[in-house]
Amino acid sequence: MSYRRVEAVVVVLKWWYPTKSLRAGAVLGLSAIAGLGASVVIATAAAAPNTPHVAPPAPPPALSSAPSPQNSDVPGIAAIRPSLPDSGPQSPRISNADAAAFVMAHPPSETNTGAVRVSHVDFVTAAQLKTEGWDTGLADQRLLCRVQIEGTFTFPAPPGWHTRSGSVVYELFDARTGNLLLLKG
Amino acid sequence: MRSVEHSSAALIARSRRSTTALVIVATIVVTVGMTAVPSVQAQMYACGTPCYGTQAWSGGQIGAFTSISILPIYDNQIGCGDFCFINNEEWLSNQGCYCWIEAGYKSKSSQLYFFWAQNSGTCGNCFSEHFLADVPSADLYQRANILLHVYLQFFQVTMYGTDSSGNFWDYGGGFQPPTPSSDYIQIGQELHGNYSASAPQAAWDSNSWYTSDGNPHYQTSVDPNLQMVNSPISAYWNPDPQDSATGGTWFASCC
Repeated sequence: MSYRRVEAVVVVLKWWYPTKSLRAGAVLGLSAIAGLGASVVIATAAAAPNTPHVAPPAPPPALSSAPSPQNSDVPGIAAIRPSLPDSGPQSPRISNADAAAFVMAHPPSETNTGAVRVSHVDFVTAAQLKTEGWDTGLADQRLLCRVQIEGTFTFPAPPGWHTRSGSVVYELFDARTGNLLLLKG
Repeated sequence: MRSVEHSSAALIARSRRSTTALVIVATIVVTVGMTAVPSVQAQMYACGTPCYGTQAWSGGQIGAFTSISILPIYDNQIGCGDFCFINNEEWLSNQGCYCWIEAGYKSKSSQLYFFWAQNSGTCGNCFSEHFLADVPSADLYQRANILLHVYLQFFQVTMYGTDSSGNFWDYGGGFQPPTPSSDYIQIGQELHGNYSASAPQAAWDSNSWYTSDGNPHYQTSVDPNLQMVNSPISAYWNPDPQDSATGGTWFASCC
């Protein structure tokens, strides 16, 4: 910008802000805006999704010293809200209708067409499933709600592997909490 | 006349003050708006056939370990006519029997949870996904340490970590595959669907494999031909295992 142009800008500014206090206010205002803008940009950059600050990694353990947790008491993930009163540890707090309604509203994401049908709902213990040849790894006495679902399903596979399809899947819910524990297909 | 001049001057002064105020408000709105845009942008992608940001290692071993940062990945696509989710995980496989075990954390229908899954061949009901627990907020920005290994006739999974308050957690499980041996390790990100997913840059560290004596060994090399990176996933090594004494760091982010 040439000296003449700067001079012209100063003349316009002096006309628009005729007193020193107005000019000081304008300078203060612009500084505040610049400062705010800079701080917002810095804060956004610090919280940017590509630069999260995370805990340091753990080293690999020898197999002899690795933790050996069991799968028997996992909570599962939030799914059906219990609707029945608590009548004791071996009585379900979700109904057949609750389970069927949940599955129809949230069909397994492996559904290929979206068209599914709940063909059976029953309540079993993990021990009973074991006698049917299905070892879930869950504690024997754990009460489960089993939902049989029919449709067209595609199952995930590791990178580079062919996916596989099926026409029936089962979902297991914790009959007490309504949490989803397992999908088998 | 004098009173008219007075009122004109007052009007101009008021106009200047309100102009300045408007400029300030507009600047704040524009600045905040522009910086907020990246967090709400949505991207369409074609991952009906899954997209990956993964690295594989081929060869005999009895297990694998990785330490993944736990981040708020997100996917809320529902009713998509295909399976839709995004996850960060590790796989241990036997290519001969179409068997594998996998574990990590996943976002599906906007629910973020820990899982492990198994597949034991090509039978009708060979695949199972185990939903372990919703990821607690205290676990975010911590680590999911994932150990997959062969033990006797089983594929075993152990996932453990420490939350932000220092509380230890762990999950485990396993199954008996037709052939209890492993020859393939994979780590990385998997995306299914067409829109809505987002994933900050996660890290896979301490990448290791196990010999039959049960001892871990850091990965020391990678085969670029066993790397799979499909858009919109971005993934890369930094450092590469051959330039690292601790198995390198694999990064993946999306969308």
